[in-house]
Amino acid sequence: MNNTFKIFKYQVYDFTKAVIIFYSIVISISLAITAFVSKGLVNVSFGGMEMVTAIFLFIAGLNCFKSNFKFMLANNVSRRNFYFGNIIALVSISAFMALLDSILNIILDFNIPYEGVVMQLYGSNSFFAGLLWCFGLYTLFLCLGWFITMLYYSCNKLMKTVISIVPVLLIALFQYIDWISRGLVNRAIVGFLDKAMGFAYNNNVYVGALSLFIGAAAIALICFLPLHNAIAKD
Amino acid sequence: MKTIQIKGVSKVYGHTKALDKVDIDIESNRIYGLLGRNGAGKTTLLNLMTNRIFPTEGEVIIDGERVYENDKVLGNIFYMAEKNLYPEDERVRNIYKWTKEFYPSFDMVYAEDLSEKFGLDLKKKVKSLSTGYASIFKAIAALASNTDIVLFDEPVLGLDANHRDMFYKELIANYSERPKTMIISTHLIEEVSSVIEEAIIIKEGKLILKQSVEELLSGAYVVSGETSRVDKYIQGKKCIGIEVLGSFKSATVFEAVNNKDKVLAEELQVEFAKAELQKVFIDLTN
Repeated sequence: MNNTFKIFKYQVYDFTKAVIIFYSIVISISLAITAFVSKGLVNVSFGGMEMVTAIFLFIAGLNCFKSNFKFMLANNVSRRNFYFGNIIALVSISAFMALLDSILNIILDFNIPYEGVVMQLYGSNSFFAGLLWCFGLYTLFLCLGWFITMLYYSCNKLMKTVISIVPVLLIALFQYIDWISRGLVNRAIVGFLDKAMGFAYNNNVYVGALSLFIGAAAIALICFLPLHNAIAKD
Repeated sequence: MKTIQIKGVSKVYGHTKALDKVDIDIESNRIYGLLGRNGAGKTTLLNLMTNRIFPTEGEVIIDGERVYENDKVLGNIFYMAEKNLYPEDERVRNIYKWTKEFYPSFDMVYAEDLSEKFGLDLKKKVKSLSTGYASIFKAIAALASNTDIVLFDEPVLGLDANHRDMFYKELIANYSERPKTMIISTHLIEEVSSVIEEAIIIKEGKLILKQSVEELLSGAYVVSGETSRVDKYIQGKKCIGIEVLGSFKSATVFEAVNNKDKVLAEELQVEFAKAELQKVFIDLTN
């Protein structure tokens, strides 16, 4: 059996417990709300639970590198195989959770006043479009978390400080440029997001999903940079 | 048959040269002792041999193939590191199960037997193991891996005398059952001297000696007696260490004894004794 597949198996195994706990909480909350709403105890509508999943996956991404990387070193697995095994695992976990969330959306929508994030943003209730969009979003968030933790892991103290400060400086710089250019930067960012997320194209969910996948693929590709020369650290 | 070639390997950390152009050929199916003082570069060398770190220059070749990112070659080496690289929250049994995934020849039954012998509780989490049991857990994984090359970095760290004795016996039994290349890096030289066939001594990042223990010890001896007589005896000889206790002196001579030496020793009334590996090591690395 190829090492890439073994790493995929281990990464999925490592995620299993956290995913079970996460969905236990999500389903418990959903059941509680459904019960309250159906008994008329509360009159609420809620939605956008996919964002909770995305944040969970981002945090999970932040936590899934160090221990697994060391374990892979203990088993003499090459970094290349570790990388591919992880990418396959991260994409599979994202797909699985997107599917679960899409099913949960249908169940909740059927029982209580509920709107998924795709419905809220795009006004679309297509199961497939929602699934694809969530899949892209989750992959992006998970890969981003994985990349950030890997970047920190591979840097020395000085570089860690530099990469922590640079985003703050960039934001401050953009704000300044935005101020002197009378909102040019903000307009450019909003314009870019408007197009990238498909809002400019008649709220096209598929354009949004495609952009999320492109973003996730770009992050997944650059993940190899800090990984290719990473070594065991305390 | 797995031969290891370390070709001109250097490793620099900042301003520190941990290894300096090291060339070593390691033959298959022998037990090597990798010896050196603290910070000599032993762990660095083992890490380089297993792709855990990368050389600044030079390369490590196993059976004609570079080790660098080579899963085929790496899958035939098991490295028991001194540092713990295993997930702290995982149970020992689970770690062994996963080790079997990565090393299909890993012998689970043997690992369980050894765990029972050493009193290692397989249900325990890695983080709850004492220093000694953490070493036992890793050593068992290494012995049960059934790979052609097994590297041990301080395998008896924290082990009591009984467990150390058990470990050396198991190591010999394991080697006799299925010969393999073993490299043991340790500071307990006298203990390991009866186990290793060849010694590799590193000093300040440089290889200073690679020789069979038998040859090494037959090529060195200790001469002792009254100071002035010993001084007279060692004149012109390659003396690697001297100890003085009052008017008594003992010197380690790094040469084989010949008949002329025996006659001279009789004349000067000095005595010969066998050199111990630890003594030779101390004298060579001081």
